[in-house]
Amino acid sequence: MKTPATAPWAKTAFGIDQTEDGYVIVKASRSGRGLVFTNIEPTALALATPSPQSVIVGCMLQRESFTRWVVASIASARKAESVFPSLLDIQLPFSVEDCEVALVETRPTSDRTGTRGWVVGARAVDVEKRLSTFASLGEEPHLLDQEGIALWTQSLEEVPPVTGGAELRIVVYQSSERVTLALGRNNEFMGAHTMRQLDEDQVHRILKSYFTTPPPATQWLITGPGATLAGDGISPLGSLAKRWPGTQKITREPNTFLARALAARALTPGVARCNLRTGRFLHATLAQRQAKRPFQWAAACLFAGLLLCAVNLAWLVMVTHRATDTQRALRALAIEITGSPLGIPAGQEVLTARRAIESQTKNMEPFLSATDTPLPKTLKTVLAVAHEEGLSLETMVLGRKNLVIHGTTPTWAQAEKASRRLNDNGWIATLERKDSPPGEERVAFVIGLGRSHEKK
Amino acid sequence: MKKNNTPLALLWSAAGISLLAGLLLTLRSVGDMSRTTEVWHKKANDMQEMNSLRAIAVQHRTLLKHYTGYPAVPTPLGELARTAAPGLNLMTRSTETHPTVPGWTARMVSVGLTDITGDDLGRLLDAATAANPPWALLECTVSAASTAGRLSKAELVFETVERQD
Repeated sequence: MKTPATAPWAKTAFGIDQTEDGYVIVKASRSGRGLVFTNIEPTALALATPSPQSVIVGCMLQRESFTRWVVASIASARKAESVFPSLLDIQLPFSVEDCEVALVETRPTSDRTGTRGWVVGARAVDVEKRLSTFASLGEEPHLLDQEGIALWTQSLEEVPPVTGGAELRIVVYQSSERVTLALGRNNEFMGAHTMRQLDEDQVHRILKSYFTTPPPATQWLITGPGATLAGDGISPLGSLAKRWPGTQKITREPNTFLARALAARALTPGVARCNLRTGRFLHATLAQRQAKRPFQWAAACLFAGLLLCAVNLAWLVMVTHRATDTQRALRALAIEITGSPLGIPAGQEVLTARRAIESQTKNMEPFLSATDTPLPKTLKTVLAVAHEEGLSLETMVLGRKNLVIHGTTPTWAQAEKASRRLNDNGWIATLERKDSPPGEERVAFVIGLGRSHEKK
Repeated sequence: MKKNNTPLALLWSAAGISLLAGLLLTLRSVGDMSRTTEVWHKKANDMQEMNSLRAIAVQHRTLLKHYTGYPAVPTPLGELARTAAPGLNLMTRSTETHPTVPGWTARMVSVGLTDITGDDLGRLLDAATAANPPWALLECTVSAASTAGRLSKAELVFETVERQD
């Protein structure tokens, strides 16, 4: 589960790994492709002018802080969070109220009936001492991370677990004055421990408390200013390498590993980000920033509200403008069609124009009929068909919309054929047989024709 | 020392008012959306119809302009008949006029023909249609003669327009 960076607003972070030998400082800066790390001389940091967009990150050492998994038998994470302090209080040899505590992750238990919380903390007196130590060296960190968790998450970042790889991962941080172990199964943190020097039996006992029998493969990641991998075939881990067999690897730039972890965790979101400099220890800059937050939220809400108003008003103006434009265009067209701006009531432009065109069309009929009427052509076609099919026409009445032919034919089939041919000329023909006069051998018929479009 | 929270309270008040106003305006806009869409749809249809009507008006104007180029008075049908089919016996039955568009009069002429051939009738119709301005055939009633290819009688109704100069 990803948690937000502890200083998401910062552009630069200085991670400080404080040992008895002095400082190891790494500067992390945001760039287009991620973070850029630069090793810094301690004097350079002291001389640097503090920028409002940079943070200094120290850490509580493992020996002066703690990490715990607490389990609440409540499925709701939010409700579980409220009981975690009580559960933690039971686990600690001192009161939780005397501690600075941060909950860095919650996850459901494997049977999903409860919630596990990953808690990190330090006693207030230790935080105070740590800050005093920094102050005596002329530094005042904005954030205080936790050593064990920082080592663990940075190892996941730099050496991601491989599917089917070692089940147990142990990060061993070595310096002249301490050895810190952060261990976990696959990518899940289990715990962190510290000691003055590498005590193989003590480490073995610690590991046995997690694993009764060693897993098939253990991944040892060695880091810190004192990290070495012996070239003479003798492992720096001594008998541990045999008792907990697996691969041994030294991390990239081991002397700056922890400082790099602290700087990276301040700038980027990821697993288990935390800051133990809270409450009364909160840095003045961060306190100021926190104090500004209500103003920033209020300003953001004001801006959102104004933006909402502006968008809606713009929409209203646009709708009105468009309606006016369309109305104006309709009126202009109506004036063009009717030829006068008079007598066009607002909103009735279409109706007025329609009536004007109806009136115009009626008046224009004599002009239109001269170009549209196909009567001469029809008359010629009828006479030609009658002649070719041997029809004798008695009378023929031809109007604009209909035609009636009375006549006789030698056979009914010829009348039918003539009717079909007229049909093909854009008419709807109906053929009707009539009684022939007495003594007449020819078949009398009536063909009625109507315009084909009138059928619809 | 008590912290002065007035500026923050004022800012939150302004934010609340602006958000409320924005919300109300949004609700109004959303509520009006269907009506607005309907109005736009109707206006688009109106524009489409108006453009169609305009096209008809333009067609009418073009036609009138075309007729303005013709002589004010059409060639009489009798004269056309004499030229097209010299043997035709054309009798004018009636002549009616009625007003049409301002500045123009429609003239409707009913004529009768007796004992004519189909070809002569065709030539007369061609000449009438080709005249400037043209004569439009509105109705036609023909009766066949006992002789093949001839018509004993034809009654034709023509219409044309005259310009009032």
